[in-house]
Amino acid sequence: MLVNDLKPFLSNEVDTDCNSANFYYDVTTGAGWLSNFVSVATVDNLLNKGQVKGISGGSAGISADWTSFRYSLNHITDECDEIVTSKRGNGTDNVKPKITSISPPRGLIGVTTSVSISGSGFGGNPTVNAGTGITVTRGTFNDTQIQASFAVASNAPAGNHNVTVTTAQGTSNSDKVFYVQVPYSATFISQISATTLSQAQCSTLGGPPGSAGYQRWVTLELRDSASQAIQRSGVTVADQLTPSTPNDLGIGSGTTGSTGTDSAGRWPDHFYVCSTVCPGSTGQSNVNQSWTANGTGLGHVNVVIYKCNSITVDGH
Amino acid sequence: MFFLMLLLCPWAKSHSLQQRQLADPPTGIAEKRIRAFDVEGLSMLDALLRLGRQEQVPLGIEYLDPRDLDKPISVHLRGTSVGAVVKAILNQRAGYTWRVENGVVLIGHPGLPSGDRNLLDRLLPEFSTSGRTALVTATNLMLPAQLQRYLNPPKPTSGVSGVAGSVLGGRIENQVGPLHLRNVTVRQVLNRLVSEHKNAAWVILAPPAHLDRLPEKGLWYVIEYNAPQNQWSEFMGTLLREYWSSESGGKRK
Repeated sequence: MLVNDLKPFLSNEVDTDCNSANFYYDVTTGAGWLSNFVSVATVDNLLNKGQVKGISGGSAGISADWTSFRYSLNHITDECDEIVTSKRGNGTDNVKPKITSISPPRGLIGVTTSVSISGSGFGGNPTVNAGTGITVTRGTFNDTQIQASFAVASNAPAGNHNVTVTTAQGTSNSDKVFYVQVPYSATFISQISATTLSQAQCSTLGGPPGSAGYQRWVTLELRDSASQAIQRSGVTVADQLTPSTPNDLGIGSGTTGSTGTDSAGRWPDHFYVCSTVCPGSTGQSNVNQSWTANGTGLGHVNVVIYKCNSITVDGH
Repeated sequence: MFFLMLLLCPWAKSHSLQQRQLADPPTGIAEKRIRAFDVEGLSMLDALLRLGRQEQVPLGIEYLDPRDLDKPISVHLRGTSVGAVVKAILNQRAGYTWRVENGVVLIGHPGLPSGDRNLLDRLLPEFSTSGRTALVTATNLMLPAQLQRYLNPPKPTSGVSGVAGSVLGGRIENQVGPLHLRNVTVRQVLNRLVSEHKNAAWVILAPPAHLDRLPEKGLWYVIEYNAPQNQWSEFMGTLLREYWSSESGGKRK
């Protein structure tokens, strides 16, 4: 890989006594390179071509995937180890951009996510591509970071989307991905509290006369099919309860409720049951709790087991 | 959210509830002084909720057109009052009115129905929370269940019966009650519940023409000021559009 930006420091150097084929550069590199110091640099036909064709030696050298670096030229020596020049200078090479991380690395389908892309070589006028179904609007940027909005279409393919940054120097690596999340489950996280319900309490909850029961507060979390939390505030989640068998407590058909997720993708759910056979019955009613997130059904259905003295949510 | 199967026994048990008057206190809340109020680029709803949260002012929003959530507003006032801020927010949208009842700032519209055509005016012979309970349980489960009992009294049936369900959202630490209220309107109950800690707002979800019925999904949504969310427009917009899209025909009152 050519490092053209070294040329201004080299173009006037002449080796008068050693007849060198190569020159050696004492270059100190700045942030973004693999090492802070490279002891020598080999130059081939410098004066003829005016280019550094490669830098070798030292503990770091230049790795195959380097994309940009800052450097300070300390001095240049010839093959006789004589200092040709002590001219010093600084520069920055802007070469192919490189993405090192994307934050957050995932986002919900059908909404826009603010994304920060970190790396190097972003100077100039970078454009960002995130694949099919994601419209990228680039915001502010500098050489090492780009702020962008990823508008993920509701029909965007789920899963990994390769992200690239393109500048006048070329297109970056494409191995960093943005994962499009499709809600899959309302997963049990923890219990908040649980108590029995008296007849008086059940009366206020709309229970039949003489009924008693049980209530339990839990925290649920919206997750994708890879069991990753969908950490987005304000996603509308709604449930529907459908009695299954057995139904020893005489539970009827259900209605729905809804709420919004918090920034961790979580929400509380207050389960309750009141039945005329409670307390005392050891029977149970199994109820399927199906979910929607922003109006789209989730693939996973929770099984809720209501008893007079317990409520189990999907095995928890 | 909850569901019901009718019972073997008739619904005959009466509860001797201690009556507690819902006197209209001299609130003076509209005159409450505010040193500074600043919102920039928020929806009307989020601006009102910011005021409620900042000044501990309970709100009752009887009318909210979802289209008004899409347009950001800005308000910057110094040395002002709650009433002046409410006016400044509502003046940026057409057709909204406001008043104070039971210590709650109520946002409305001149075209809202009343009496039998508005369940908020429905008189409940009694409303009870039994003991202390979470605000969201009282607003989203107890009040609809007890209102439903008067709208459609259960018929005696035979066999085992029960109700079960789940109430989504809310914070369990926001406890209210115990309440034993008699001869109160639904609006007064909602006002009483959100004003207990001055930390919540109730928002009617249905368009004005649908205020005479209790939808399966509920007629109102309660927003707690100490909820993790601090912007509600996206969530509430989704809910409101769902209710409004069915029969409102997109006509502005």
